[in-house]
Amino acid sequence: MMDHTQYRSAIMADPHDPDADLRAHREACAECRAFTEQLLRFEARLERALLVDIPTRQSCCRSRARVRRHLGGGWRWPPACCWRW
Amino acid sequence: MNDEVGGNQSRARFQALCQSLRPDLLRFAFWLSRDRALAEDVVQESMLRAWKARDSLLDETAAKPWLLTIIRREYARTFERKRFPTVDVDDLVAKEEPMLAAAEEQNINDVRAALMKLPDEYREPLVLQVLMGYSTAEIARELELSGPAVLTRLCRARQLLRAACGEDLSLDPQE
Repeated sequence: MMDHTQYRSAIMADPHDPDADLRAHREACAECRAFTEQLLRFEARLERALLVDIPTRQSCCRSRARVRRHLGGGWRWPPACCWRW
Repeated sequence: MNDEVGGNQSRARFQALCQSLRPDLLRFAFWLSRDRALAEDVVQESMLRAWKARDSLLDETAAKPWLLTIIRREYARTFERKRFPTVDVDDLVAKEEPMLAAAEEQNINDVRAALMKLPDEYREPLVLQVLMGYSTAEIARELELSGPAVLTRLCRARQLLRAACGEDLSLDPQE
């Protein structure tokens, strides 16, 4: 049977880990269940924090010259400003 | 003629593929570099490298990890090519404020500021896991680490982040 430290270390490494032993410990231990709920609330914040806004268009075209240099007169990769993000 | 049509189709398919993945790629590069302009440059260069090496992508469903690997290598190359001046992390947070300030809630911005200060060795596996959906084994393979080392870093990353955000750590596993 997994102890509290093992459970909490494992769940902190992956709060969504579906492992059966983790689930069994969580169901049997109210304190670890409370810890998991606290951690999942923070995880939701973390997931939102990582989703930084991406600008729809860029005003900067400094990559254009580099792209042309790379590709010569052939097909050109659209510069960042022309991408739909 | 047929070659030209095939080439056009190939280009269009590759372009569509990269375009669909671009937001994820740019976010990954941003959290890798913590600098929007650098992230854009790295992604742009990576797309060019990917286009040149497109024949090595045998399975389109594996395009995302393939491109992420190219981005990581390209980001490493930018450091080989030029030496960046050392900057204060607080200045870095302030500089990226327009990108970070989009979050309406202060508590999201708190997490972003903490992420900006998180050491690379903790931030990178965390971003791969949470943002890119990588499993522990995939992170281990990408970062050339053992599975237990990845788990330790992920655990430590969350500990550091939660501490920086003033979370209650009373129930955290003791080291």
